[in-house]
Amino acid sequence: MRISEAIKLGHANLTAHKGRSLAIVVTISVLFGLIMGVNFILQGLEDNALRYSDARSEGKIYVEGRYRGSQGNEVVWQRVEKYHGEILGEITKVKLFGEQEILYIVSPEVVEHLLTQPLDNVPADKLPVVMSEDMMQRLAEAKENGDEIHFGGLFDMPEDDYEIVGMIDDVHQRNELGEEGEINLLNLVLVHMGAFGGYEMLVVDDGTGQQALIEKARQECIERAQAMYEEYDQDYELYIPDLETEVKLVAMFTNPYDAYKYTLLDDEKEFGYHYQQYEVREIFGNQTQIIGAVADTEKMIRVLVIVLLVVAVVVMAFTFAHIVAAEAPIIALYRSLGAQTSDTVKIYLAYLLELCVYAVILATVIGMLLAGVVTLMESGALQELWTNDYGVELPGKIILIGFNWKYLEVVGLMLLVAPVAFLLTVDQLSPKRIAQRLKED
Amino acid sequence: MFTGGGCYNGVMVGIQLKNISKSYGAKSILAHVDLEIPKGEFVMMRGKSGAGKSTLLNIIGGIEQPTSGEILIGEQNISQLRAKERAEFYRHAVGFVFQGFYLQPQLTLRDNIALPGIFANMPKNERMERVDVLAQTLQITEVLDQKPAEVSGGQAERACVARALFMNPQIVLADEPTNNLDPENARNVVDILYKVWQETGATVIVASHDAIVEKYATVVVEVADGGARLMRGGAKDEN
Repeated sequence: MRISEAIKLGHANLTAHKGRSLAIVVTISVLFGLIMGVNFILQGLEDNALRYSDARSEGKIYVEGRYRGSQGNEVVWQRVEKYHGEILGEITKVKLFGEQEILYIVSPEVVEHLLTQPLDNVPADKLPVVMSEDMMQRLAEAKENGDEIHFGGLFDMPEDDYEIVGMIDDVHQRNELGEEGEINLLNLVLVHMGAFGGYEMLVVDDGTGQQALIEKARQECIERAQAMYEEYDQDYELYIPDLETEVKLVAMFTNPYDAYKYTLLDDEKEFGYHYQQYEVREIFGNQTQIIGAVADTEKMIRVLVIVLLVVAVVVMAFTFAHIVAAEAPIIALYRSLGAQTSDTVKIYLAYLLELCVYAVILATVIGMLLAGVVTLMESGALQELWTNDYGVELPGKIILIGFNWKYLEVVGLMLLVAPVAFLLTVDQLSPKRIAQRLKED
Repeated sequence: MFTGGGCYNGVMVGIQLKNISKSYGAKSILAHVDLEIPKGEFVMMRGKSGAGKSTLLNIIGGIEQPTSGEILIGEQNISQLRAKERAEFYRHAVGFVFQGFYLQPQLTLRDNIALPGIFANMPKNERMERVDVLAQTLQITEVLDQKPAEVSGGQAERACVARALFMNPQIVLADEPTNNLDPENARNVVDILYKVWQETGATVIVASHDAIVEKYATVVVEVADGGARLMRGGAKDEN
């Protein structure tokens, strides 16, 4: 029997059992339509958030990494290469006085893509710094309130020791950059205000100024330790800390999904490292976090999909068993006209698959409607939120409908409902069962 | 003019039932039935309701399997065939007219008639040609593209007969074809079956307790008390 004929005869069941067929289609499509809707919305969120984040970081994703294990940062180099990234330079963490007193020094190569004020223009006696907008805002607020501020844990800053070089409202104009200021003994010049997700403040240094800076900081620590020693009348032992440095490599990626895979640390065996000793995070942006958050939600949804699959199979198998019982005379008719078991299997499997195809279509419509409603309700608010958060204004409305291969995965699972439900009830089609039903009738 | 009554794999068909028994659970319907139906007869299978006429007809037609015993159609021992071979054999050798002239209600008469051809993988154009010939002979051409509920009872009956004849079977089985019909329609149906028998030379077996069938039968099989007995009818020469 040809497949086209089986589909035609299978379709006859749909007309004959409209109520039950509709019940199957509606049940499955509502269950999976909700999942599809959530999936569309999540992908729409991811697409749009990445669009904003990408516009902010101009298509570049920066990820810092460090390996504390025996191979050291060699493994970082290897992994960055694997995921098509490029090592730009280093961020050196200088611990000065206990865990709280930390200074971060970044290679110029790392931030040269970001800088809005050329390093060449920085006076010799000034240290160029990249500061987060959050930090800038905190500075502004502290200045206004006359508060002290802990700046990276390194220095307490009395209000007169720093200058406000730009207010948060001015951030997008960039015309305040290049302002100079002083924090404690350090003369600073602001060369960039970075997006969130990075450091509060990074000192840009090619190594020459770094030693001087560290030496200055060390001197500060010694002076403070000595002051404490003297203040407490030498009851305490004089503690002069050694400076410790840690180096993280900063890689740049141009594809956020490559960067995300790099942060996943799921290739331990391939590179022979241990993930607990591998530090990795995105800086100057949050694209890998967006992708990760969506991926985590999708993992939860996948569990839900399996549960729904079981429910759908049970519903379909149960309803189909009733349909086959009612179809006993037709099945007997087919057999008497020369149909083999394989023919009846084709006919009824085609029928169930047709129901699943309708369910896929209806579920897609339900999912799109759900995503459409959420878009109508939330689009404006999201646009405002992201415009503020990312500091960029993008044209076009935010539409929370996105497609990805997981949609096809759900479609595949929905189509799988038919053969699984069929297999569970296939004995209902056996000649013995059909004859028995006819006798019972 | 009907065509058909050909032979399948060179077998000119006569039917032998050897020691056939059929039971449903503990309930015995047929017990040790031995019966030989000569080929080319118009057979009435009669008996009271529940005597086992339909069961015996279903066993001959391959719809039900006997609990024990052997069936030979022509030289072919059906009991020794594998399921697929058996389906193939019955598809070509036997045509069935169901009680109540059962048609698939969702299909047009054309598709209903062509069903045996679909299961036999017959090409579509060949199927349609065959349907047209049968429809013309049975005078249902004008309603071929309508569904069973949209045609008269008589037209539906003729469509059922056309379907039974679709594969040119050597044996045509009819289960209570006159049940629930008024005398005029009952006579029409039997007329059609008789015409089929006359023009194809097929063995026609009609399970019925209607006296009108007996008038046409050349052979009568009495089904009673779990057994079956063959008696010669006298209608062949009269009609």
